[in-house]
Amino acid sequence: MLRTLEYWRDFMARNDLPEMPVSEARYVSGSASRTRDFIFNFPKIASQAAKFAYYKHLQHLVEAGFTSNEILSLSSGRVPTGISLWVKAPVEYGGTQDFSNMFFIRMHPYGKTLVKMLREQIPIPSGANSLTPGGLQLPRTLFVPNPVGLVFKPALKGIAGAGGATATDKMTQAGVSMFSPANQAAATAAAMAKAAANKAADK
Amino acid sequence: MTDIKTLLHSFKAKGAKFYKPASASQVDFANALLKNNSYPEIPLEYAKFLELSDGMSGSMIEFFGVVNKTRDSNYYALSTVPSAMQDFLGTAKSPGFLILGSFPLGYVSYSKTLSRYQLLDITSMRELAAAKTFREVLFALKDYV
Repeated sequence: MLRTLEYWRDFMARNDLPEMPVSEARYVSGSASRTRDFIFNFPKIASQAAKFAYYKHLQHLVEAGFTSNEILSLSSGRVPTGISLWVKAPVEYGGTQDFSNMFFIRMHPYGKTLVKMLREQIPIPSGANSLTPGGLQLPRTLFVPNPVGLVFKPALKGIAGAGGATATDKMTQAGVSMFSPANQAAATAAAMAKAAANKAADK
Repeated sequence: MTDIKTLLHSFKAKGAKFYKPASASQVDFANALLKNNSYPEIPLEYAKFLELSDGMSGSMIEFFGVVNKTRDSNYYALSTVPSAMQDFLGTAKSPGFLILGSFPLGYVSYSKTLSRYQLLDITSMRELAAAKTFREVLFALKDYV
């Protein structure tokens, strides 16, 4: 069944990723060799992307809640365990090896949502021989996550611990994100502006 | 070709994380769970790897274990084979293959119907490469550790 863009936006919201933009990608071609080359070349691409993220998007890494060890690991070109460099549009859908087609994201709790989104659109049929050598039938249109920039910044950061057997404790997270460095800086700037305005009014 | 233990030592030197070995009864329990869901059982060679370490987490690669792990300080926990099957396959039943691990854009699986390990493309589930032994899989994916 073909789902709409609205459905997938709602899907993201229902799966802890309300701020994740979704785009539509059109099937281009299913070249097996291009896909294989991309995948087996990926360690090199990921290493370059890790260094690029460190040198050009350090502030975004901090805002996204990456730890100092994780940032240090990226600086040496190593993607830390638990962090994924997710490809937005697959090769079959015109996806390229450019960094603009990728983003770093923490796999817990977000990775499962991205995999679930993909598998809902390209399901694996039941049966003992469900996989054919040519692979599964790909839909003409694929909805893909499409955040801005190389680092995905979640509104609800996964730094407050699990709030139950499967869900994340959103209330605690919202509280923590209120006190994130970016929000603190914004609050400080607002307070300074207010103080300056009050001083001017007193004169 | 390099044997499994030597490969795993080189992975450890690169920073891969290893776990407490799984016991034979823990592997049996996972097999019972898989069988109950009409999934294939864990292949013998992979079960032997689990008896060295119950899974492995590298930079961009994971090999799933059979025992649930507690989350680390970054809230990361390695999946188990039975839970990974449910997460990755959705509603598919009796697929004839077992997901044993993941790497960027792909899965490591064992096809019971073809009696071989496969590297599958995450999008189309097309076979990218095949191997007769788990050692060959480790060797093929050494750059992802």
